[in-house]
Amino acid sequence: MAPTAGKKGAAAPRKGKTDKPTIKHVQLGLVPLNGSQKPLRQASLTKFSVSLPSPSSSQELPKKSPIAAVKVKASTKGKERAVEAVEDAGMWMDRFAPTSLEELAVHKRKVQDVRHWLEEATTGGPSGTLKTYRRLLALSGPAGAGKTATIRVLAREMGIEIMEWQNSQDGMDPFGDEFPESHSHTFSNFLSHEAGMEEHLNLLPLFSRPTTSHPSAQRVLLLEDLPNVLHPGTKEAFQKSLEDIVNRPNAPPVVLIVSESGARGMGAEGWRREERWDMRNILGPRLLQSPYVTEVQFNPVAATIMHSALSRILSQTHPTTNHLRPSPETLDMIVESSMGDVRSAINALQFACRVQMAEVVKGGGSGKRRRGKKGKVGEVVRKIIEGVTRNEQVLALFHILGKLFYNKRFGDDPEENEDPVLEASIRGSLPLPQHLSAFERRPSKVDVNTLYADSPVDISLLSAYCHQNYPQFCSELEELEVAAEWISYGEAFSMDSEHINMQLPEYAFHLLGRGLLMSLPSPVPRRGQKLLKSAYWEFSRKERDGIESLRSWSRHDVGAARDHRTTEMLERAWLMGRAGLPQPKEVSLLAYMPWMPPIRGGGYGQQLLEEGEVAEVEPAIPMSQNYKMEASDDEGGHGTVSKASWLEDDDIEED
Amino acid sequence: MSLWVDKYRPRSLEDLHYHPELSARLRSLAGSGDFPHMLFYGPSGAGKKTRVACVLRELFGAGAEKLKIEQRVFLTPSKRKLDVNVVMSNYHLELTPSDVGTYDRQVIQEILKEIAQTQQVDLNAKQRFKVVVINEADQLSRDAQAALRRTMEKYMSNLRIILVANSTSKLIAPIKSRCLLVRVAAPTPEEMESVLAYVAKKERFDLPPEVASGIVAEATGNLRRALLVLEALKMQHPDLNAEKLEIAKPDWETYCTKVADLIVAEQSAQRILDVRAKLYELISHCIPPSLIIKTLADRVVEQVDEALKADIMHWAAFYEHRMRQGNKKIFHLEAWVVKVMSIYKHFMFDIDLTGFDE
Repeated sequence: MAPTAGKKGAAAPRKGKTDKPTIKHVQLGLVPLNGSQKPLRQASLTKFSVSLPSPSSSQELPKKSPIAAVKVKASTKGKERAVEAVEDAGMWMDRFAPTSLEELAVHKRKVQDVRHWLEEATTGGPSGTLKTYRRLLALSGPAGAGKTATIRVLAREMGIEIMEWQNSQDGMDPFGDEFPESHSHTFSNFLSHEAGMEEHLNLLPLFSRPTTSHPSAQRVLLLEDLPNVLHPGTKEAFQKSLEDIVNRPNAPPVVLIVSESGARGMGAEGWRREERWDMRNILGPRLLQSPYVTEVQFNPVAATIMHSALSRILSQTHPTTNHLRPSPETLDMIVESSMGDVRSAINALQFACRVQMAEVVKGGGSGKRRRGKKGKVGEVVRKIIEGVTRNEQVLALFHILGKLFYNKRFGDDPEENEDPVLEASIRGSLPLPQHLSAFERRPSKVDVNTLYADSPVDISLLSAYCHQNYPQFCSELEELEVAAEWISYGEAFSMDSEHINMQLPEYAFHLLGRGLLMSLPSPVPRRGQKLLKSAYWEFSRKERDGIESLRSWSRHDVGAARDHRTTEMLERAWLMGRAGLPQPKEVSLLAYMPWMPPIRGGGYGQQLLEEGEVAEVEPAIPMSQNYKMEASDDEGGHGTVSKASWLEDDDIEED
Repeated sequence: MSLWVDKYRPRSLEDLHYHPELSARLRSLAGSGDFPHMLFYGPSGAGKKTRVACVLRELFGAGAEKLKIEQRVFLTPSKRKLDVNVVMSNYHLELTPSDVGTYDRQVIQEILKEIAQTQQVDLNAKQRFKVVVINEADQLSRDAQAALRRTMEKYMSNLRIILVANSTSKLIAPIKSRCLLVRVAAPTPEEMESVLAYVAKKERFDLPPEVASGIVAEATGNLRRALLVLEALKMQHPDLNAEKLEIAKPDWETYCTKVADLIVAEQSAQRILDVRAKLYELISHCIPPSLIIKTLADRVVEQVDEALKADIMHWAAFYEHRMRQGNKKIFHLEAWVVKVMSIYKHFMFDIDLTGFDE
């Protein structure tokens, strides 16, 4: 929590100056309220140790009672006004963590999936036999999608006890005295200790009996704070421990939570597969394919769900609509800018309340003046929230694409008053000679230099979006030809791996930007073009998966291993598919490509949304069986409640 | 049950169906006791690997045919682990460097060193040296090739290297000069037909000559492909009735043909998007982009006027080169598609105009 709060402080310098007591409170709020707060994920761990939280503290959710907090505060800071004390008691995401299913800001279907799994894992499902196969539940999804909250709420409701592993650096290690050992050892010890408890230590006699009616008998291991699996040795030990526990039928089931990062944009191509922090990498192929492992993927929280969650919190903090309560517009903005990250949204909300309050305090009591300032307050809030949440990138991407694709030039609109001096300064002094007249353009209003300087967007990401969208902005084939050529040239240029040159991205940006501006028609016809998300990563991921399955096939089949060329292996797979010979399913799917005529008017890829816009249709054209399945899966995730889709692939940084 | 390609692969030099002079020369080389490093090159499906396997058998006897797949783990300088599939027998070892990507130099060096430093374990082995077969040698990076060149000299005493490549153009000169170059040309249509007939006889069915020549014409010198197609055909139409036979092709080839037809049929922004969707689909099915562009270009060239053919091929070559430089293949594929559309449309447009003039 600390770094987030720090960033917020930096984003709002004025707050520190004007409202000292508030700052104090923020700091106070940073102190973890109880043990259930998430510890920081440590990048490099010098020491692992196990802290077995006592059942009560791990299960218990943060208390949803501001009164208690006020009491504490009242004793320490009695002078403060009670209202403020309520505002400041801790981070809201702890105070208002969901305690029931209704409060959970997660799509119902995902909750159902997890609930079924938990039921089957603990009681064996309706037939009572599924228990064997519900050994490990892997929850993946972007940060703030509600993975942990779902598990906690469900466990609480179903009376399942959560045992949690936490990396820690201090000496709370119960094994530490007896076994001085390495980190991964400690971890596997934790697992086997948890798993083997009933066999060896016999601490919980009730534990192994599924028939028992005692609610606390059911236990689940929760792994969220993982060891550093980017280190090959640790990863191996980690997977080994997991396999051990999964293969031991009497051990409690395991829930693994992974906030996936780095699977987006440049991550996908810039990082080697084994460095990415995703489920596939963390669990390894063997576990992923094991029948004991179930994976549930969480999507970013849909806008409507998020909206109601935030409203719920507001109704608790500001029961009456008064000047302190953030306006509905502010709320909308927070929802939109959070990109489906509940945690970030709640942070922003808490922050918004604080800023507005600061504004009020500064306004100095006079009601009239405050009212007059309202518009300005909104502006301030907007700026700060943009700084706090993650949407900067989307906006920037949207902005750059707009600048490029609309290709504004002087003289586009004769009605418009333009600055002749500026125009003259951009226009070259000499007209182009006759033989170059094809390149004559009116002076551009787009300053590529500034655009590059202001752009936080990675060139690889930008070029993918440009590639996805350029056809709809061109009207003639000639324009398309030139644009495609520039995009191709810019891409080939930026990827010169032989010479790693920090200047290259900049040059590539200029090539791409200027090339596009040159090739697009002027003015660009407005046909209500919709910017689409680039489909590039989707398909390159599939390609990588395909190659992976071919390779794993060649590991087991001598014939395939000797083919060693992908095309030869595919030919083999194709023939084997026709002959009905056994072969891995993924491989036969690769070789099976039925032709479908293109669908008119169809696009693919999701629409890139500007804030406030909502996609009217979910453009999902079935291009293959695979694709169809995925598209419909997506739809079920968050499409049924809201058609809005977040741009997930765009920001480069995430904790 | 194994595929015919595997089942009827010749196992010894005597069994080879064509290039008898080459087989004779290889036999005398293997018998001479002074076996050089070798480089087999030629088009795919011509029988390079089959010949390599036969040579190995000639050198070491039947023991060289007992293959197993091993997964080796290599540690890169940055302590990252690499899994490499190695096909090996007691006497030799096969690697495919493209499996390891940028680390091919380290892997090749490690393996060669390891093999070179261990003596032949089998006392009854006919030869004192072991053989390392490097498949797709033209995919080796410059680095790896340079490293290989030194190793080839250093460990000559108990290690021989056999390189297999499609063309020698990507291999550096020092390597070529250290190897005995063996070109395995594609079989002639008659040779291929005789092989097909041989397989048909072994499988005990009648192969009508028209079917055989049809398959051979489609396979364009790729015997491996011809055998696969024959088996697929036989499976579909057990009686091989020549009248309604359509020579089977792998799905993606048909797919590529259809994409090429899309390009020729219409040139517009919408069509570019249609084609893009298809290209994405091909790429996600692991069809190498360079193969896609080649298949597409071949098919487009078939359908356009003589005057355009050279141009279209030129741009295919141009954008294939771009693909090698760049990372996002689809950009370059699409740039080629748009280029072809533009050329084609201009050409058709001009024809229309001249038509009006007359």
